[in-house]
Amino acid sequence: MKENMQIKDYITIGVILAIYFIGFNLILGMLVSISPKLLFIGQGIASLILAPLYMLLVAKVQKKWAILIFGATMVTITLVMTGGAWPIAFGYLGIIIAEFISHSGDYKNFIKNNIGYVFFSYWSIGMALMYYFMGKELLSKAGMPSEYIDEFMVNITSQNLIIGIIIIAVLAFIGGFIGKAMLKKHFKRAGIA
Amino acid sequence: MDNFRLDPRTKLIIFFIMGAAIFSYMPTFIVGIYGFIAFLLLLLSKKYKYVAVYIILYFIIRVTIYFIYNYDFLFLNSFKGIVNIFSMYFLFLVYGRYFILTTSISEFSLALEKIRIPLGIQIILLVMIRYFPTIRVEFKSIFNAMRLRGVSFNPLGFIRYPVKTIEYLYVPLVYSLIKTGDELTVAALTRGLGLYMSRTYLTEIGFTFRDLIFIFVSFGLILLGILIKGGVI
Repeated sequence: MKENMQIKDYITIGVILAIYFIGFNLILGMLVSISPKLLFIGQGIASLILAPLYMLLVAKVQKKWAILIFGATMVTITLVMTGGAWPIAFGYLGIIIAEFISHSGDYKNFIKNNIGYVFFSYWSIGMALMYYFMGKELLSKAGMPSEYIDEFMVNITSQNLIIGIIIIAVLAFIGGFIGKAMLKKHFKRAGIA
Repeated sequence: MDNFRLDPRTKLIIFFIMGAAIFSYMPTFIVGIYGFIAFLLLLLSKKYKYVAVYIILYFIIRVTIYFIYNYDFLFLNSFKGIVNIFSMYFLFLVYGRYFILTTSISEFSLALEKIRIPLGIQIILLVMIRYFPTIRVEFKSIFNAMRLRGVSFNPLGFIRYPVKTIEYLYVPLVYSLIKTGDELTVAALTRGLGLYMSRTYLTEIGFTFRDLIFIFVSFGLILLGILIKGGVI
């Protein structure tokens, strides 16, 4: 039974989106201010912590394009807030893949949803990619001292990028399990998930 | 100017332009002029208290930057990055405050409708905006309840019992989320949202000469910045 998205679904997306977006930026901000090396790992950690919200979304709104709208709004807001920095647009890719993977399992298959979440978690990788592609230019224009720039850019290598991508995937996958477990334990009885 | 009013769409355009200027690292004096515009807008809207607070904050930041850069205390090095980032976002702070203070939800909703954003996306954005302050209140309540039960939220507890801490936070959060969602849905449906006819708005918005001036100035500034960066000027 696949109807169209109703007002109820949009509101659910909006409410979950508010917490996910703020939570993600808060966690990432805290981690990066502790150490810039956590740019990639921080996204993985944030994805792990926020996984239950994503699982809740998929459980509550099992309609076509729900995940896409959810993720695309986040990427678009990030895009607007950084004045259109193009690497951010890479985020759309992960979200589209997540939507299709979850859709193929009718939004009910947990493994597919989990794998979908892994791809979904790359929605914010644009920010990190921004430093990868344009890092030196960005930081020097910001007036940061050159030792800081060198120290920072040493962390951003192709190797670290690949490692970071793998770590995000692993953490998101684990997060999916935690999310599902939490939903099952607390909310199944309430009839929410 | 009895009541200084800008169309919400203008404010959005200026926001986007400012974001582009900051993130493409325009020459400092251009960002400075944008900052001046932000302060000016706050002044014209008669929010003097905020103007005073932000000016003081700005001086504190400048002084801090001066000290950190000119006096070489080793342990302050890690602060350089944070302070620099913060000073970069300062413009957003001031302008964002102006935006939130002067734009009502109805105005914003009408603006979204006028730029023809689909109803679903409108709802998502409005719900998000409306829900932000609620989240803060909810979190306070949750922390209070946890303290009441003798469970405190600190990093040590998080490392020792990570799953439990997350659980104590999440379960009430999700319940409040669902409850809020349901209440919002009922309220919206009762008001006839989602029926396939156009909505009636009680507020009015419209472009005036003022809006055009501000848009032109903002646009001109960033154009100037691009030209300077490109070496034309």
